Amino acid sequence: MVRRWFWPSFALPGAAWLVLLFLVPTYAVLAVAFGTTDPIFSNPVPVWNPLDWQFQTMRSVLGEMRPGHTFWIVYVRTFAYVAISLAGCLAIGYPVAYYLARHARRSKALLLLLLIVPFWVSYLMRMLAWVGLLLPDGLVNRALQELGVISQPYGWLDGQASSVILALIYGYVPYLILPLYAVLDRIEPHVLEAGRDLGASPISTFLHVTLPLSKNGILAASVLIALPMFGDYYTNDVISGSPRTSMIGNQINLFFQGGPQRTVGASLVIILSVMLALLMSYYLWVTVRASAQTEDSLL
Amino acid sequence: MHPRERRTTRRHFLFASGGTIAALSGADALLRAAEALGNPFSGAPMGPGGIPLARRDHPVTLPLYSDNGPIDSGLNLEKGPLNVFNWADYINPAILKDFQKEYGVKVKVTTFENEEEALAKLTSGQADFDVWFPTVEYLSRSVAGKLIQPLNHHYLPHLKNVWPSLQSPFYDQHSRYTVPYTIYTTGIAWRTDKVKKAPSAYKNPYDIFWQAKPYSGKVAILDDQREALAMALLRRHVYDVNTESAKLVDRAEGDLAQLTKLVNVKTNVNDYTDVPAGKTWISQAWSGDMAGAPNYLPKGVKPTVLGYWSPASKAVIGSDMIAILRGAKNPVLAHAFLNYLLDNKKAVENFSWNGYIPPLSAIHPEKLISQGYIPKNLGSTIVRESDFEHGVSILPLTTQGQSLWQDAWSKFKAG
Repeated sequence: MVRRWFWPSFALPGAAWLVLLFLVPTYAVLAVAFGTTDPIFSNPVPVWNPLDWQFQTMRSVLGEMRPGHTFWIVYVRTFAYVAISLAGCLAIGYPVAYYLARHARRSKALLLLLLIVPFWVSYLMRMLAWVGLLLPDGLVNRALQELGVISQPYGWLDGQASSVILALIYGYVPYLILPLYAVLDRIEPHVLEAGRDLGASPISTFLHVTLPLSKNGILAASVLIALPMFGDYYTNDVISGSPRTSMIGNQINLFFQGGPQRTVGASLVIILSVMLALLMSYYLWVTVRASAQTEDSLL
Repeated sequence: MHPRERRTTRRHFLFASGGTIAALSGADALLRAAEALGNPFSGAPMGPGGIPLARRDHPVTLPLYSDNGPIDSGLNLEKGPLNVFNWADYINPAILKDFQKEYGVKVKVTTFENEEEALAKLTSGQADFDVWFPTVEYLSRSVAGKLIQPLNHHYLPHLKNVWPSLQSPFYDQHSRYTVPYTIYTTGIAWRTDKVKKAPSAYKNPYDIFWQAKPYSGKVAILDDQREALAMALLRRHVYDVNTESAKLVDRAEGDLAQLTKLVNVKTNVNDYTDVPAGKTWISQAWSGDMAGAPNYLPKGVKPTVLGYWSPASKAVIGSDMIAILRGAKNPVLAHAFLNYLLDNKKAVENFSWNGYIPPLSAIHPEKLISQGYIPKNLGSTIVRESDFEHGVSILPLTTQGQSLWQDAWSKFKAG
């Protein structure tokens, strides 16, 4: 009996953590979204009984999700920014992870340490440092002027979408490199050697062996950085501040920061969560399918 | 009929005079009574918590409750520590040191970033503060929710130093719950070395924003829905900046949206750092922020590059205040602290650090310039009592009004 429960009990702390810090807060968001607001301070009054939930706020928020309406514009922009930033992170991060896994020998430990260094500084501080670099008389403008690339300081902080996307890439790329490195490092060298022995060129080996074997790692790392990017609001606040670059996180923040419509903020959180859950389902489906294929090939 | 259009009745007088209200305990009871009497606070819209919304033409005497009275006179000072809940960087640390030394107590300051955050903490029941710095927008709710306690004026002899018009302000007649802390205007800041035409050179100075195409990307408005939309209303000569007319608020939103198209306007509250740093060349700004802006200029750049304009009449005037929390453990000491901040000398010392002018009669605008507190070119940041009298105030809205303004702001911020 003891033996039967011994190993499963190892999952208890994680399960308790998940229930306390994920399921309960998620239910609280639902209770706020479908709840009411106190008439004096406008604080949300969660309604815990689903039978008493009110859905009119969610209906009006969904109404604003129609093409051309307020939340539609912001959701579409958010998805575009995240997609471009993700592509940028992969373009920068994959070669770095590949180099670390395959070619960095003695310097591997040092390079890995350097990759971890950004985690020592909070994301917000790194964004503020980025502002210092991009100021009209900041290091970037001065360097570009010295090199003769530009004659006048470029307005990096003038509400440019490109600056927000670059900042997102800068902020999240370290989170992508480490899991990708872990996957690439696990690819057996003899698999690559087999490809070359069979006459494949280095590029062909990469395209037909390395890349497919790292597909799950790409997906996992992409999920890891895309999820926080979707909820990000401070990157836009710090780097741009323009309504033209506002993301869905900014709208959620707007409704939670004040006023009597916290229920709208909570409804936006739920809609975003549902969308992300759909994306996550795709990731899970791909992962399960891949592991099933691996098992089949071993039989 | 809109509540604003109702005329004064005798019941209004009786209700507002406090006698009736003192007998009622709790905001719900007050609200029910108000409803039963058919809104006796005639002429003024009813706010959250059942207290009429203060308007310049409808002053409000905040109610007293039987279970939330002022402290008795003649009590001894507590030993502290005094817990102060304030906006970040809003009080001179030297003043706190002086107070600690003079009264032999410790002062602990906890800061908040915005009033909503402060309210969330205060209403959670976990906070343990004595003094709080609320704004007019949250005042009546704080009274209705019994968050703050009435003041005992015996402990506040320095209240006489305050401008006569603010000794019994329209939002808190007889200063029952608050004393004023600072006063400021909302106007336009610009870089005189970058922008060719000053706001005053325009027929309608607010047009500087809508004609700033050459400065696209260098234009900002305050990230504050009330302030930003109020500016768009004032540009159209709508002086009721607390309007709940959907038509007017929507038009103001449309005007701000034009700014996004025309000049890619930014929204933030960094006027005091961004204008000196050259990140922004034209910005909606608070006078106190611009009075302190020279401190943020890069080395070697003279304060003459900064300009500030606000209208001589119908400027948005803000008045921040200080209150004592109902659950204060050191209420006598808290009164002493409020009184200390209203001392003429201490108030000037505080102003020299945070840039926000205390509304005290002894402070002469000319002296602030001649004594070097404010550069001559930023003399327009000084607020006079007449400015307050001729200005407009951003005041609390009904719950529906708040939603209307917030929806408009959300639409603008979506870009």
